[in-house]
Amino acid sequence: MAELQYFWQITVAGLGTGLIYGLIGIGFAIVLNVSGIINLAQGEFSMLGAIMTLYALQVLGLPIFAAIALAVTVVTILGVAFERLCISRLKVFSIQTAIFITLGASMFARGGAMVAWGKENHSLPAFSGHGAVSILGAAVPLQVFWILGIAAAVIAALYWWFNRTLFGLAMRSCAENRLGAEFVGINVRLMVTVSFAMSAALGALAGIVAAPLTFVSFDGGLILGIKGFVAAILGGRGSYLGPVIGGLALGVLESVSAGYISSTYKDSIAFAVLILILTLRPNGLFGRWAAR
Amino acid sequence: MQRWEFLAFVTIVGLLAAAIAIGGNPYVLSVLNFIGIFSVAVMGIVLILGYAGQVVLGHAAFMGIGAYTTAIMTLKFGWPAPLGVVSAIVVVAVVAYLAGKPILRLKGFYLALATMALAVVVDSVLVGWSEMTEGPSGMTGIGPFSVGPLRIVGEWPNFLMIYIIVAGALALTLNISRSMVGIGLRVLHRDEELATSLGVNVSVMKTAAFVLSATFAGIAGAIYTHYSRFISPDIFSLHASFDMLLVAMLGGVWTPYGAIIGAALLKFLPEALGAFRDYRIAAYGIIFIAITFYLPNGIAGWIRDVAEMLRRKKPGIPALVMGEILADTAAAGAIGTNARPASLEVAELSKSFIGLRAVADVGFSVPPNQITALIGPNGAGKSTTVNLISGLFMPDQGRITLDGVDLVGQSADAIARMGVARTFQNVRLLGDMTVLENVMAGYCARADLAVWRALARPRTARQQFRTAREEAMQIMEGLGIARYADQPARELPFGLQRVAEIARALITRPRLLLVDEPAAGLNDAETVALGALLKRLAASGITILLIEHNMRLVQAVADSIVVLHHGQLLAAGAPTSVLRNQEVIEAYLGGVPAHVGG
Repeated sequence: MAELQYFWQITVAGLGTGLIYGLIGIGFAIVLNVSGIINLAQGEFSMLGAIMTLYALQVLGLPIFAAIALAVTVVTILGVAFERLCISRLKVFSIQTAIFITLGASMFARGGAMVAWGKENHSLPAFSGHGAVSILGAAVPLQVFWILGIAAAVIAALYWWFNRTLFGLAMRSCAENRLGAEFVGINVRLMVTVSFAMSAALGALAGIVAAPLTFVSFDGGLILGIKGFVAAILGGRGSYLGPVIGGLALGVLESVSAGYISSTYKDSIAFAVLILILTLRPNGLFGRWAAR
Repeated sequence: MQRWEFLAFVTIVGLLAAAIAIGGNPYVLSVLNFIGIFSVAVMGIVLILGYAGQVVLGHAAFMGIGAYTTAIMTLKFGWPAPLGVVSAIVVVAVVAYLAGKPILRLKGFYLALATMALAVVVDSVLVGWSEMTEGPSGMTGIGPFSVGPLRIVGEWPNFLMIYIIVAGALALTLNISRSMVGIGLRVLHRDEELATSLGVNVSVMKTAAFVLSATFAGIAGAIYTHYSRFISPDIFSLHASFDMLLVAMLGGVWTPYGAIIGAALLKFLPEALGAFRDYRIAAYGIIFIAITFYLPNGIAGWIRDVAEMLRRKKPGIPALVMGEILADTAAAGAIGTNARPASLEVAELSKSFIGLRAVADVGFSVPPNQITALIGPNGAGKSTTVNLISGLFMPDQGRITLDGVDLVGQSADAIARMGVARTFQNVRLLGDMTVLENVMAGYCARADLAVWRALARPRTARQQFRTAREEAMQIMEGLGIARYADQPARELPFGLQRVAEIARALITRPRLLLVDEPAAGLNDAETVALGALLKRLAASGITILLIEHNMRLVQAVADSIVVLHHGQLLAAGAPTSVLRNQEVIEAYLGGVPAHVGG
């Protein structure tokens, strides 16, 4: 019975982190769908969001939700600035240059955060205390409910945005056929900018809600970002639910392997999965990804 | 490596060494040793990124595998250092092969992310497998490189050993760039589908380039181990890979000299930041973005451009029109290709795409030594048919045979090697390469492209390269475009780009030449000249399948005509009878008889 209890506890922990991966994965998918770019700096939005919230809390003395709002706003502005200053200036779109530019941006964000906030690990207080609720015997931190609520709200909002608003439909049409979208008068460049704004905001939010469960450090974004990407390709990018399902699967897999095998190789599990999926099922497990 | 280059390299290194010996400064030597080791690793990036165009983000991981393999073998198992280094090379090559073969099917972002993931996995093994690797604190007490009584200890002996290896790596890398393998890599870098149609097995070549690139990193790692005698995982982390990639780009990733510049930057950039060392990562990020925009060919590219400017003003080459050029050379007569013209049989050929039967039950034959025209309105299935014959698409059913040999199921590169050459409706020359190099690219279909043989037998590889260049020049003479040999292909007038494409097809010694809408974009005079050229080619013994819209051209040159309509065969036979066929006239010529509307 204790065995089962242990497994259940581990699984629940994995689901919590998995939701975060899913949210970050959605951020990847939004930008990829609209612009054709996989933003290697995606994870840095999460890192910046968490660190800035901490800064607003401790240095500016803002209350938690004002701090979050400020951090999300600033990261969104940074995302837009990055798109306007770098991505939109790519005259001839080449994947190689997009890789280098997003990689450069990721290094810049990481290095900038290190200079501004130091190399230490910080921790962000949980939104409503560090208490936990017992579900079938597994202790579930209150923060996980925040994650769950925000994930649900984000998915609902995205569903509304992409299905019920003209702007959202226009963004989707860029994903379907960029040239066609231009021909019917859609401002594709604006759509790309908006997609970066959305994914920056989403990434920041994901980083902020996740932070109380772990810790915040300047170099946490890269790995978190790749895991979000793994979630996205596991789930397929067709719908915005896909990355979440992929994220949950990855979170549980990681948590279980850390609990039963070794936590040393926890990160490697995600990346081994990535390599396997990309090479064996380039279209993703559930959806169609053209891994080209 | 050309002889003057080798002598120059040896001289520079020798002078440098002499200067330091007089000054007696071991610090400078240690800096040079560091640069030497890392330039070998960065040359690996030149091979895979600069030559083959594949963005691989975990290069330092292979350096780590090499470093740790020799460290573990010598320290834990007591193997002698040379054996440790050899085992390092073997392990790195095997890992790169096993990982690279599946991963390199990915492109762009996915390849970048997968290789990044590979680097993280390697890193966690180096940290986690502490019984062997001593974990995050790293391995100490590693012995120097020694063969029997000869121990390489201290900066001086290491300097000699390291720079002998650098010279070797430089020679290998330069030899590759000046071989047909190098040309093949440059083509697949820019246009994989084109490379395939020129007989390049893209997957094999990419894997070979990747294994070689990783091996360079592994060798650098192994030397590093015995030189510094201390290693730890963070030297080979993902961040180290990014740094290496950055300096490779900054130095100039298209040439191994850029790699040497890059390795020097790897050492000096952090020191140049001085008091701002903490800003290093952020500064690297900015540099990354800036060079992508402003210095895409790196410092080496900038030096090259300046040198070009100083050396000569570009000679003004008269932009003759294609018609005149072809008329001039027509007198030169047949263009010998020494290939036996083949006959092509297509039977019951079908191909559907989602919801659309592009080609349905089509059969026709292309007799040897003749020009057969394949015509039909837009969407008739002409291009699909060409892609099926050349192997880019796999037919749903049907037979395609070249002189009785079945082509169905063969890869596009194998079909190209069997003597099926093609030109493209939208000219596919590689604009930044010279016209000569573009034409030489066609020689890939006949060349030995095995990377290992190019490395092991540089003389043979060079000979092959020379043969390709001579043949390319001959063909270009025959077509009148030899005077443009050293121009970048994008600077050619459009009509001559068509001619250059034909030249590229001819050097493959085609037994069957597929010419896809060659008259598109040409004016009347150019079209007439093109027709004359096609006839000249047929007369010199090439079977031609001409896919064309321009009826004047078709009437002028075709020995027989095949008409497709809605993916089906409408008519086939001699031009006179086909063009009088009422169905053909209605479906295609809009009801006006060809000889009137022409």
